[in-house]
Amino acid sequence: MTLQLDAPQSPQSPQSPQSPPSVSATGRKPVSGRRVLLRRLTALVTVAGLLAWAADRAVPSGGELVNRGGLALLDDLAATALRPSLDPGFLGVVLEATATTLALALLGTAGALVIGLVGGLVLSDVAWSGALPWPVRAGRLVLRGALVAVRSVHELVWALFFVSVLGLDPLVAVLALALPFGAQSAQVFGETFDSAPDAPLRALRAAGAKRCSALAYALLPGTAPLLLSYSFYRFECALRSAVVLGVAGVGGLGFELTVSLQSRNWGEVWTLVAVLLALAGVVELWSNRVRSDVAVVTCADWSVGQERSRDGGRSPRGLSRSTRWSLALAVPAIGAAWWWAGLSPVGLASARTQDLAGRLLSDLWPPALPEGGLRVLTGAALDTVAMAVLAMTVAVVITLLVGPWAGRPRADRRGPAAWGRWAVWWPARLLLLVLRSIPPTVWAVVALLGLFPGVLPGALALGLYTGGILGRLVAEAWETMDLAPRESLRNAGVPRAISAVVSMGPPSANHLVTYTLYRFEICVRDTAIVGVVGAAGLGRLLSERLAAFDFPVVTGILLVSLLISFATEVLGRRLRRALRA
Amino acid sequence: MSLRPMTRRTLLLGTGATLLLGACGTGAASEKRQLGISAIPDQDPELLNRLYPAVAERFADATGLKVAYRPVTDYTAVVRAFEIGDIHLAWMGGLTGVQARARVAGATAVAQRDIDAEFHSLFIAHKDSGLRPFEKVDGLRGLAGHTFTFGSETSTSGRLMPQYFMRQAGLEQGELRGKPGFSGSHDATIELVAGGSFEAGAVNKQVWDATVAAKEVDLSKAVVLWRTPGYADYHWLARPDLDKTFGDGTRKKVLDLLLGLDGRNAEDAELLKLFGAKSFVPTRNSAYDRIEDVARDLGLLR
Repeated sequence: MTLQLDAPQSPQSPQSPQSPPSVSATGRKPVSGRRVLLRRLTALVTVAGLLAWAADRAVPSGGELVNRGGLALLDDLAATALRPSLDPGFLGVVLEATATTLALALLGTAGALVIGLVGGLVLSDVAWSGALPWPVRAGRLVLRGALVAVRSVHELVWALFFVSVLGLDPLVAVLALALPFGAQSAQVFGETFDSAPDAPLRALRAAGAKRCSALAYALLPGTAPLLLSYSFYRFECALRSAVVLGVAGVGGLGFELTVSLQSRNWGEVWTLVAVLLALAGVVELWSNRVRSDVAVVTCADWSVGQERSRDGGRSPRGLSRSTRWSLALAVPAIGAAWWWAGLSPVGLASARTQDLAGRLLSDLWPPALPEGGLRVLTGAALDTVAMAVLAMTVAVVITLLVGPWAGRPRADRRGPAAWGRWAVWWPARLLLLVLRSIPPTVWAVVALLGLFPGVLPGALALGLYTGGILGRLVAEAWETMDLAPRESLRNAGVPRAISAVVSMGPPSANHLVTYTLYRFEICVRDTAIVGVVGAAGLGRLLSERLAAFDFPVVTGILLVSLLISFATEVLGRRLRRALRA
Repeated sequence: MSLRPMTRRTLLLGTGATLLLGACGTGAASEKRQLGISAIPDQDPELLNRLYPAVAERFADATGLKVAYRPVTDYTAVVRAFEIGDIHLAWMGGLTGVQARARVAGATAVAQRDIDAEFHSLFIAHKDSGLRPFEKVDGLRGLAGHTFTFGSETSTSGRLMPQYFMRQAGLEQGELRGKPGFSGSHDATIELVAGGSFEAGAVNKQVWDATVAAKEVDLSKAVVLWRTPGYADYHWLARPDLDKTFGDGTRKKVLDLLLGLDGRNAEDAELLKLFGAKSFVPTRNSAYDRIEDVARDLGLLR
């Protein structure tokens, strides 16, 4: 891990293909070799220290790691894997739940896109054209802050709040998905608008077009492929999150999974897991196809907000049939989802909702400290950070082991070597799909069979899940890497192995570090979910206080997790920028 | 030509408005005047799914209303749904009932089972743990150095009262091996202890008896260590606006049905058996005062 971390920090490392070469020429002071060594050492010591601290914090004081008593149950669990429940009644329930999950994910994504488009336009500079009056600037600042706050609270926590106001209503799931995802989309869309050429827009405005029509006809067509690509990526994420929301009692596959887990009906659990895998697999294949069709942007790029406009990309004109069908079906599909979920916005405006929302807000304020005061809160916060660090370690190990095999083999390979490569590619991709399609709550239940409650099972559960996502992101980034440096080294007579390591090593490490930092930010947020199942940290404290209806303390805990989220995000962004420059 | 953008916009607006209106229409009407009931998910969801739809049917017969059972996944969700008025009658545990009454002023406990006035928890252990049955509360000190699991976090018989007695015996949570687990339900606790995942656990006596009677637990693997003294537990809790929403006498009709359940009638007997009781008896809020004190003491009630 250390090797990958320090390599890209050295200024001498080859630039990744998307960064302009001019930066190193103008923006950097010359650095001595001793300094580079010093920086590498610092990075190494920091990472090692962080890991040691997290491991020390996670290991229970008794020194026992594995709960040997529970291993027998794990055995039972594995034994039923080949005997999933195929009871027709249950299969009917599963089918309905699948439709509900799809519908909720679709509606959540649609809501997020509406928020994203409006928010993105407000946040982008290009839409305003010219100097802004101060109220607009102040408003935009407030909006930016609000969006960051909204997105640093986990979907599941949003869902728990909405359930307290709206009751068992499908709106809960849709809003819980739409709000944080919308906040994220607004930021990405704003950046996308700003990076688009603004000449057409200015021309239309100069010709006297109204602002709205000018935006609609000049800005949207140019950015549409990117927006579309991002929308499909969001839908994939929404599908995973819709399953996680099942814990909050929102219907769908997640709910059925929770019920089957509670009744320890492993046969049913396996059936549900199989359906989840199939669903996630199909949606990802389809979304991949559409994304590669409309714009050359991988998931990996979207997740860290990087846009590579490499060689102008593919022409957005030549949409394939599947993409055109997906677009034509989107609106009817949203209508159908609306009908299936029985969504009704009436609940939002009802007197009861206003009443309950007012009550919830007055319950939540002012924040308070939990019993035991600041000490307990700090302890939980440190546990959360330790859990996220360990989870990332697990994820990085998974990525290093599986990632290299999960990148699509290059098309120019031929012969038996290529077949072998394909034969490894499938299982590697499947393994990553399994890891990320099963919600972390389920991983946590499994981990709790073999480990004592605490930081470790939470870290393991989150690590397996995040490993599935990180592995895919990194593999996708790796498969689109520029091969030219390797080729020129080879042509210059450098041995194959050396040229591969020297040319591919640093940029691959750069990708790995970038995505690891990005996922770490999300991982911190995700510790809230495994807390619900009984792991340690702020999530645990949160679910405990929610169960006691101790809302002032809940606010206190949320504020602390907000603080941690902010800190990791700012730190992560800085490090990422330093690596990219 | 100049009209085209206008008509397109009108078309879009019109379509949007139609969709929105259509959506508003479907959701609101069907839910009206449907009496919602629910229960804390203290046992295997399959058992709950056999029991409560049957209960809903009997309530519907007695009141002439549409009654729907709304299943939930955790204890807290029942309290939440009761608070916001999605459910009007709920089968609560001692603690969840007290929590719900703290959130809904005027809610009343109407009936409990014959066994609920003097309810008991059991401390159980895996055979290999080396723990032996004992007679007095002090014996709980023997749990020190062993792994232990509660049931749900806000279960009265699976967490609140067991923790209360552990405190009475002078056993600190930190003296257990590892942190105590929260299995989520009584069935899960029994499985985890019998399976050896945890050396000891606390469980609802009625669920234990039912599990033993159904031969679903291997008694060569799990032993009962101690039965706690009695305390008040489960009850039906009614929202204060029950009669106002569903017509005068609704509460009385439900209460009459519950109190009138007779073990000699085959249909009634089936229901009573699923509840694990011989009959239902009236109860009052004040029966749960002690639970309330303990809950405050343990920080589970504000």
